[in-house]
Amino acid sequence: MSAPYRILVFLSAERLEALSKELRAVSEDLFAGLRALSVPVAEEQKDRLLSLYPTAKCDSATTRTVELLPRSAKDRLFSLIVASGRTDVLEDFLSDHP
Amino acid sequence: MLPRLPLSRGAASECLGLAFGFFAPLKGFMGATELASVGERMRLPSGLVFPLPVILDVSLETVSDLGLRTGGQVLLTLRGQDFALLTVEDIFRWDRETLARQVYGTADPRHPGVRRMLRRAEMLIAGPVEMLARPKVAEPFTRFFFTPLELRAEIARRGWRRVVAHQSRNVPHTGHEWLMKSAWFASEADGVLVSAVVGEKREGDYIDEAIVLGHAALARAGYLRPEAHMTSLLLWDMHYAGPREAVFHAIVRKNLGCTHHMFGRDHAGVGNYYDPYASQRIFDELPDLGIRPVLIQEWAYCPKCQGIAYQGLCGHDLERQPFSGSLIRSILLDGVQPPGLIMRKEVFDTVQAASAEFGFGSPFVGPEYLERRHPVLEAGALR
Repeated sequence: MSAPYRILVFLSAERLEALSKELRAVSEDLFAGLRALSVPVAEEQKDRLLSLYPTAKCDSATTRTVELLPRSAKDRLFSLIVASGRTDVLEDFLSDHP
Repeated sequence: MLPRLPLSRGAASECLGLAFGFFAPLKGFMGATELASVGERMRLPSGLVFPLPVILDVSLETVSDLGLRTGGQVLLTLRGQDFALLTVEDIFRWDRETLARQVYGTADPRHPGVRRMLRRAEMLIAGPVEMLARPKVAEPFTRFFFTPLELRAEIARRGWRRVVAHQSRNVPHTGHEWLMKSAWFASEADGVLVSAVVGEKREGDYIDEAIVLGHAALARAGYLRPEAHMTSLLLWDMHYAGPREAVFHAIVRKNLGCTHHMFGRDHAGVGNYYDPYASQRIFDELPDLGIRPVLIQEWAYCPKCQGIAYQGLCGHDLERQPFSGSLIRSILLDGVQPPGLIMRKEVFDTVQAASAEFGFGSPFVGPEYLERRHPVLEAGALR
């Protein structure tokens, strides 16, 4: 079953450069020119994320994405993706924040 | 010697709204009878529709210390400067929780409007307000600030007969741009008036300067002709009261000279407290307010249409890529420039410049901005 929500890690030129060919292939093209990696988010992970980052927001009506995570959190997610070669890294990320 | 009552930033904005006619027919802070009528019936005792309380709270201790009394006058001050004069017609205790339920449909303290109401002091002081001088509005907002009288004169000078209001508290993305364009078409307007809400800020919001200058950049770059587009300010703390606040916005923009008001999805909503289209449906239940609501759905990017497409017309439901203000803020937070299709380069450049000049390096409100930004409103020089 696919996750109900996701986090979009938007790819700047620097982030794109750091990606393997395989990860580039799974990145999505959004809005005619923006590349992003999609990190799946389960319901209970969403709740943990929102309690970790009170200024973040889950847009459950329009985009079904978790938005407004700080840059540092996105950088950490990106590092985990690059290191593991996969995008389902949220549990690893959350385990850093018991 | 008159008693001096210091105003909060938000209360000062409301004084200005009352004294200059933004909130007409209201001329002063509401008394007990008006407040009960607005809370219960969404109407003033005269029967005119008015959906939100406009109130000035004080503690019981302040009432006693300043010797406030019905029939007296109070000098209202802003950061120590004489700002306005209030003639006291009523002083009374109020029930914050009941009013919250009436206005917001909930007393849940997680609702930002409810939370603010529950924190207010236990007494209300009511009566008409008179400004002592025209207040000063800080840069870069000066050229965008118009009183209702001034704005009506500007609309007449431009030869606009039909004017559609676009309420904004965001840097405009192309979804907003298309909301304005579609409202312009739907109302056969001569002009679009952007009425940018400048008020209480929370961490993570766009800085006010980026919002206002971003809208002006759209017209300067020709995406909406300057002859058909104008940016203005409304000094107001959002209540997030959903449908009731939509009606309030309609009344204010009518006072500014608008003939139409665009309402999109979840206007003035927050979280999941209101149905996304409740702020559109409420107008079905109301008499003619003297301003016509223009009800619009969302615009999104559609790769099949290869452009921005209207939800109500585009049949590519699975392919359409909706974008929200939050999503675009996330793109900016990630340090990435959004594609021109969803945020115009000129708007992006303006936001970056505003970050450097006013935002302490960020387009978003942070602790430094909250602490050190120059106040938007200051008392004017007394004659």
